[in-house]
Amino acid sequence: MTAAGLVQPPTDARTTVARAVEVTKVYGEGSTSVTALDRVDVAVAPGSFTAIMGPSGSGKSTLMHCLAGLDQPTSGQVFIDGELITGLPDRQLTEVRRDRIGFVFQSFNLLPMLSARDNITLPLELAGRRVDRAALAALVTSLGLADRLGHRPAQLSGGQQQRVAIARALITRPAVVFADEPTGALDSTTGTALLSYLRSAVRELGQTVVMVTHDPHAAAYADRVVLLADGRVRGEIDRPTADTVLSALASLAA
Amino acid sequence: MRSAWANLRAYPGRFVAVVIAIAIGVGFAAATLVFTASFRTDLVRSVGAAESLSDVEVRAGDTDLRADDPRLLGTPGVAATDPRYTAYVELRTAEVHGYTTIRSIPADPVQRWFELQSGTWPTGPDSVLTDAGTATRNGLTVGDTLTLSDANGVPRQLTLGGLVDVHVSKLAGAADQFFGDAPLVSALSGGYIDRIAVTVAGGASPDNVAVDLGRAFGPDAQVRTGAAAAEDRTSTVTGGTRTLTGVLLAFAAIAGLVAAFVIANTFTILVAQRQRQLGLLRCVGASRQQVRRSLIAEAAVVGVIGSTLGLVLGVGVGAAAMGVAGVAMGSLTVSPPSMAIVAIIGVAVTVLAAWVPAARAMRVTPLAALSAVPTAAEDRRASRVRVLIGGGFSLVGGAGLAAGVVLPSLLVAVGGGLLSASGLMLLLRSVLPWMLRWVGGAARLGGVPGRLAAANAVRHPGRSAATCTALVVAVGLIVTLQVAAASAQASLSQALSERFPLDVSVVTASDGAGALPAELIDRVDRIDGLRAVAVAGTAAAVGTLTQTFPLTVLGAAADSVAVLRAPAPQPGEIALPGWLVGSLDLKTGDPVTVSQGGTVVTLRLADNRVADNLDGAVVVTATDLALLDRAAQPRAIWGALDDIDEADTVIGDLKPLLVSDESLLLTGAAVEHAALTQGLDTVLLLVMALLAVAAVIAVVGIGNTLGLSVVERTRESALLRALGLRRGQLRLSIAVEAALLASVGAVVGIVLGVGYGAVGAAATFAEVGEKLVVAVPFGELAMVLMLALAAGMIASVLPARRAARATPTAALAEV
Repeated sequence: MTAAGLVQPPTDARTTVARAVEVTKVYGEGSTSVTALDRVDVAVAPGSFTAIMGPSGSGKSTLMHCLAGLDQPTSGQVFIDGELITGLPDRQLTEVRRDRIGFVFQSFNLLPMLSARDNITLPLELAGRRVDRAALAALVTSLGLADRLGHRPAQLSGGQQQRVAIARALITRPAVVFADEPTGALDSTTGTALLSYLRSAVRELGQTVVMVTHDPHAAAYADRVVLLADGRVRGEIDRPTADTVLSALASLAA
Repeated sequence: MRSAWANLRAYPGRFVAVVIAIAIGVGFAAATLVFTASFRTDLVRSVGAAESLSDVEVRAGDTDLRADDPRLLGTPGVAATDPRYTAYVELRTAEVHGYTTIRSIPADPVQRWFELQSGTWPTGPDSVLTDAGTATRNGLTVGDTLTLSDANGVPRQLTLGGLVDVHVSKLAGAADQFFGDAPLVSALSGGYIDRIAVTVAGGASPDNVAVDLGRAFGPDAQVRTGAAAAEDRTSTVTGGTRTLTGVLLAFAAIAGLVAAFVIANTFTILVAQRQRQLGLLRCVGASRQQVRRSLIAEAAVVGVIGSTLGLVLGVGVGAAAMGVAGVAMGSLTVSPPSMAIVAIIGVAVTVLAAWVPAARAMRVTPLAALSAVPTAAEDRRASRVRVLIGGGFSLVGGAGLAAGVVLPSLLVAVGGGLLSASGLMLLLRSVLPWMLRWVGGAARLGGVPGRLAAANAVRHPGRSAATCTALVVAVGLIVTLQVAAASAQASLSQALSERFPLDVSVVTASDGAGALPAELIDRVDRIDGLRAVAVAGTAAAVGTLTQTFPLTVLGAAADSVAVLRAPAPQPGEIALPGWLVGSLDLKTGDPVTVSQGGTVVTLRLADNRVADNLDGAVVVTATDLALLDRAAQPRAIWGALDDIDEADTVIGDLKPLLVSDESLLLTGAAVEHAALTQGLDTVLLLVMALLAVAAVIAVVGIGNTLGLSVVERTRESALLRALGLRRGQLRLSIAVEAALLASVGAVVGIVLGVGYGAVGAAATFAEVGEKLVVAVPFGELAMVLMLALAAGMIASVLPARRAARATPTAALAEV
């Protein structure tokens, strides 16, 4: 099972929205250096729901950071929407994140001084784009946030905060949404509802979602699971279930 | 204690502002003490020099002293006596005519408190010495001839034999003085002995000899030791330095107050940021007292570091100030006890300012360690109590201020001012956040960075309010003084304009040479900002049939009436100065005779005060003057200034034109105005510079609050960056936040300052019974606002850089 054999990097931009080619990330220098990612190739097809899994320290968060343009790989290339983002100056990279990428974090990461509505529309305002009232209304209604828009994050429950974060990620219609342990800070019922929503966004809106998780039940909502261990891609599961994910993880540990 | 050290070592950057604030405050006080103490030393060295060299001095009491008084050498312990003469004499040189002092040179070289700089010591009664300053002021060089005349007017031709260095303090103000040998000065003083310097025998104590001599002379003479005499003499001059120390220390206290705000605010923020850490300490078994003690220890350590730096800074600045003021470096006096007191106060202020935050830290529950988001909930009841107390103080204080103006009583007004100011400071805590929100509305127009700034500025209302309050205090005091000074100036201008009929009046003294040279009139007329007219006049005897005075009679023509502020006399009338009306015992309408060379004109005394401030000139109409003297020549120049605020410049231009002729007398509103404003401007500038120190501390406080807030917001900054906020936008957002804090602080400070300045001036003027003209110097106020804004933005540079360093991945890292 080699990485190259399992995940063939597609060459056509239309068939991938996010793609890592030979991405290596090394932290530190000399004898204290740690290789977090070792020549990783990953491609994400448009309209797909991909889960990146692996044990702690497997490099899954680093991979996501590099794919999302939050961090620069030591070597290798990352393409978003067919465009090479590796080595872009900070300003352009900032604009790529602003316009083409949405983020959902484990700890919600809402700005405490802004209302829910302002948090959701923040990326649009950063881009200087007009807020499409109808689209916003549809989005917040589908997330059940319509009557919570005037509240500050501190006045919302964890589930509501995470739904605000999802709305913020979706409002710009990004090429790809990266979700980092989105259910990590939620109870299982709330978490399940959230995952269902993410899946429906993929099915009904054609939204591409890449989710990093260590929870096999969460991974089961994805179309495909990419397994990482020790900085390398160790396998891939199509149409995963919690059981197939669990057994794959067990074989990784072995 | 160990955790206090660990915190300091781990995050030294967070304490930089506190250390700077303390160092500036302590440095200010230390510099003040070093400067004034050195100043005093310098004065003692120069003023008491003569006295301090003699063991005992005997001064004339009820009877004149005699050098051969048997009581002197008859007293045990007296080894030698030396009579010292001082004479007040008339001085004439090629250039100068005036009065001066001449002192006898002690026969014993050891007793001389001055050294020869050039020339030779006098060997007989035909040469004298002087100091360099006196020589320069009187245009003398060694070898020149001068004439000294004694009280009876007997002149003596003398040669300037040399110059001596008397170590005169530049600040003591130098008076002209000469030195001659004893026979010369004795002759000039008519043999009058000013004092007798007594040298005691070896082994005898000057104190005992002084007591014995005092007993021997009784009321005939005043006997003191040389040291006591020097101290006495010095204290008369150094009374001023004590006032100076007091005033400067008051400003140091203001700087300290502002620093206390910054310190308290810093610790409040640190406690808020360390909620989890403090909670963790409580979890692992630290008692409430231990938590508090650790914070107090931290404050004490910071206080010690800041105070130490401040002392070093203060001694340096004090020494530099000495250099600027011209105090000899040899007089540098650093008193360890007073430095220690300043340092202790610095540490005490730091610890006290940290007390309330430390008490808050004590209340942190162990549970706080587990809460994800540290929240400092506002205590609503505390805020209501604060508003009540603040409102009460403001109302009572405001009433006191009003009462002070109405009564009038400056004391009541000052009390009311202090009370209302403390009340307002409490109220500001609630009012400032509201204002920040309101002003923040404008910042929202500036896109996302503006909106973020507006939201962040009111996130921690207490923090922002305390930051602004420090600036309000500093700016408020500056503006109070500006407005009070501007009002005082405007009121004085008004009063002067009413008192003087003319801005400028140049008159030749009645016994002067006569007409003004045409060239002078022409040159005066060409001075910028001055409209000058020549007024014809003649010397005449003015008075009644029984008594006349030689005066200059001026004839007011149409052009000269134009520059007068008061009405001119009517035809057939004469305006006399008040003193003349009084001494001639005249009433309005009484006949006044004016005679010159046989021509006698009788005029009626006008009900007119024009002549009151014309230095002995009287005023008639030009027609009446022609009756007296057909060929009257210009004898006066009357002038009006385009702008009375330019008086300083105009008078400065005018004076050099007049020095050549002693008989020319310059008076007028502009002269008084120039003299008054010059003093006022200098004092004002100095006070502004001193208050600027407080403003600098307040601005350091803004940078500090932002810096600490930015640390707290690292994750948010990272998140914003991840979401697509550019670095520049993030920096802009912090700068706008600083501008919001600075502008609200400055505007509130300006508004309060204008109020207090106007009321303060009103109370002061009411007390002295003068009429007040309130003047608001809008230009200067605008400058204060701009400076505050600029300083705030500059203070935001470092925090903004720090915020912009946040990497997007940091947003995702779990705490």
